[in-house]
Amino acid sequence: MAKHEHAKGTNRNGAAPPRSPDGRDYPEHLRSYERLDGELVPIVRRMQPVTFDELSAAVPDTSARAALPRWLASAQWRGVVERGIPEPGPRSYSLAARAGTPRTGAR
Amino acid sequence: MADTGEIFLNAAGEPVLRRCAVLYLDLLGVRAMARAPEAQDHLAAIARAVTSSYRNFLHPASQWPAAMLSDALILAAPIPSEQEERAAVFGLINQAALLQLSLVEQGLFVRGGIVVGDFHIHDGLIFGQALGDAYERESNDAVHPRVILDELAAGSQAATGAEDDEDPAATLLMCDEDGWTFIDYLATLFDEYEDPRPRLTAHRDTINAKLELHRSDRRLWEKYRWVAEYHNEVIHTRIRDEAGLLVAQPAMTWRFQPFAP
Repeated sequence: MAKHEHAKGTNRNGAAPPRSPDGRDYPEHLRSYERLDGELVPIVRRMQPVTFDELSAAVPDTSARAALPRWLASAQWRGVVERGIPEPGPRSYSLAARAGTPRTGAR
Repeated sequence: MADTGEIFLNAAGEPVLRRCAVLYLDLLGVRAMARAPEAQDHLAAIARAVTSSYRNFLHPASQWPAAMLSDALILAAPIPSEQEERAAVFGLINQAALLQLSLVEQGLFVRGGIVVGDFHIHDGLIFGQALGDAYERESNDAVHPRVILDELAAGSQAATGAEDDEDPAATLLMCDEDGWTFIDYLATLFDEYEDPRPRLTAHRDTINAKLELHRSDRRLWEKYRWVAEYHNEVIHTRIRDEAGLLVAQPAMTWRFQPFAP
């Protein structure tokens, strides 16, 4: 099994995959972006609250920067990152208070 | 943030061409909007779309250098090395999908092309073969309100079979019957944790309004009919039991009347 693959139906910690409030499962294609946690979580921790533009400027690797929208989506599904309170202009992101606790649809 | 435009200058500060993936977008109807009595409102809508809740696509220090002139929006993804071409094109596809969705959600439909080639963008100076090529794809080949990829850009996203390389753009691209690969911008909604249905409903309503508004102008009407076909394809393939989200057939069907002398 490739290093970033998990058994179907589990996340990288072996926990049940997240589910959205409207009953959708965590998109399968987002799993491969979990491998970027090690590179991107420390940058979010250092810069939070951080906008997409600020975050993308702090990611030196072309591949990780290209995948940033997908990684942010994956990290929000998994409860690693959360959005700030909506304000005019681009939204900000921070590490979730209980980072890594899979979201189950309860809000 | 660092000024990414610096990569388009050499050590002596002179402008240089760099290999880039380049997006050329044409905002449909913007020239008419600029002449309309509601021009101020249209300007505000464009500003909301390019400085969306997601990001500021025209940020001067953006990692994807951009410019807007009249009804054209240009975005570039510098390609630092041959090994990074696939990732750079993927990054631009991601940005193009998010930008197109943001524009459409402000009622601004676009046509565009993505190509790979030599390009320069710095201090308001935009130049390079890739710019002309992207414009040609937009003006000659896109035809419908879609953003198409030329052969090189699309080919860069083909699966390699490598362990860590899983065809990342596949879920953001679709192929049309005429052979062009285009950006499936609605796919970004399905990456989100939030329910996509409210935004899909708004997308359907915008299309319905455009179809009704332009019913007597066949050239324009056909553009929005294509968007309706695309919208319904997305609903059919991704939310199979949601007939209520479809653009209804009567709204996207030609109407004929008997000859009445």
